[in-house]
Amino acid sequence: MADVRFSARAYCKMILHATKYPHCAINGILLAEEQKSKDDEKGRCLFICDAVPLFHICLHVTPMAEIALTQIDHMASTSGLVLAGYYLANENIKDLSYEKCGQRIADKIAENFSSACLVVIDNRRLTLNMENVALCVSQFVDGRWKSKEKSSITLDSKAQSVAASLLQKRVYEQLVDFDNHLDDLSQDWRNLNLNQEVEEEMGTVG
Amino acid sequence: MDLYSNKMNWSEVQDLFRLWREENVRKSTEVVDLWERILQKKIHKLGDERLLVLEQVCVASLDCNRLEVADACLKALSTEFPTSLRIRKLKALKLEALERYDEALDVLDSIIKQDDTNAAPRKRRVAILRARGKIPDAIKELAEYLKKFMSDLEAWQELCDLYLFEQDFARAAFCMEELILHNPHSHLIHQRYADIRYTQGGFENMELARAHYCLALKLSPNNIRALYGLFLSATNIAISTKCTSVKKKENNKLAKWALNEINNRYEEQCGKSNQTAALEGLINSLQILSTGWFTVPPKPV
Repeated sequence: MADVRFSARAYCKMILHATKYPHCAINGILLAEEQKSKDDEKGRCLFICDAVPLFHICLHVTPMAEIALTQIDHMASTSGLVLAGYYLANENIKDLSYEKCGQRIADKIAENFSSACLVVIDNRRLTLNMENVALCVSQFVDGRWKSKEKSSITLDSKAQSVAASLLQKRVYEQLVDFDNHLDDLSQDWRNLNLNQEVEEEMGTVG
Repeated sequence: MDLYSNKMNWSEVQDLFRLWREENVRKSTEVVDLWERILQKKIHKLGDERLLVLEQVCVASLDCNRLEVADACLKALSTEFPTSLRIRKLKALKLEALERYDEALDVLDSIIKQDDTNAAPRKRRVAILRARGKIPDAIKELAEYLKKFMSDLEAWQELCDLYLFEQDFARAAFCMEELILHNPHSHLIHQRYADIRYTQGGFENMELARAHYCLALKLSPNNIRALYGLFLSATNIAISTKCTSVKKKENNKLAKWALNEINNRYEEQCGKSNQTAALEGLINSLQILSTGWFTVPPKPV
């Protein structure tokens, strides 16, 4: 199984999404850069470079998920990215399961991307200082989801401190997920402004 | 990063709190923040609303783990009404916040014993079961509750959520049907019912979904979810093998109309910068959808 690495942008957006709706279950899509050659796909590190927050209202019904997936797929293919994974956070603080909340979507992504990953955010590790990596990652191997060791998950060097700093500044209020977009079409689910903030924060954080 | 400026005066905050109470909004951090910064000093000016505000701040501070604030509010409320059941319920809520669930359940049981007709503690019992992750038990208890308190719409909505969590779509749909009976003019209820029927799948459910998306749109033409849902369900009906040619034409027309409406909304509401990107994405993705992306076999690796 290959290692999985998360960019600061992807990590921060996942954490900010979970923090914006502490009383809801949330989910979203993970994007990776498109692999040009087939040879080095296996055994190579999977680098998740971006995350698209999806829903916080009623994750169990599918029509809006279908719309969101097609829009994201289109956006990804025009930017050289590919749908590489799925993340979720359960509403219950101790719940790390993923079977109920969205295995359907994750399976769909795995159909089109062989080494897809499924991330469950560990709610207990969400703090203002973000000392620990708050993710439980599974990867699709041999037709099922196998959970990965903590040692094979890495984050970009400043990801944790940037996440902590953004949480303290309450930047999560600016995050737009697909539900926000459906309520008000002028809000952009690509979160370009937020991406900018993350970049700026990377520059200032030591 | 203050959404609510420091310059708000106390009477504006009081109005805002009233609005949030009426609409049952969960903005706990903002409530505690505004209380501490602005309203707390002016509590004597609140008149009749003083007790309502204290209760609101108490619940909000328990939500944010600000136990000192909650304690202060509880103290003020208890001195005013030492034997009140409503305040005893707040004390049970505090025990819940401390995760002392068994003690909270004891307090709630004592309230139910004293007043059989009191609905609130019974609902808190269900909430405790949900917080402990015991969803099937929560469903059982809530179903029992609804046998006695049949017109509690909040409870029907909660039961629907619990059934959806267990992926029991048929029973979730039944709960939404109860809500439609009580509230036939709510576009959100029709839309959610249509979502559930769509998720269940199958020709009859798809037709039901389409009908309710149409109803939702009649009630609220700006419901984007209903527009998308109408497009999806009409397309699915049109490409189904069970569809007669008359229905096919009808559904294709509906789908086209929905797509057009969505395009119009995007044109009206999207900012100039992301308008083309969104529209391009939308048209292409919806064209892919209408050829059945979800039924196309996966791309070879």
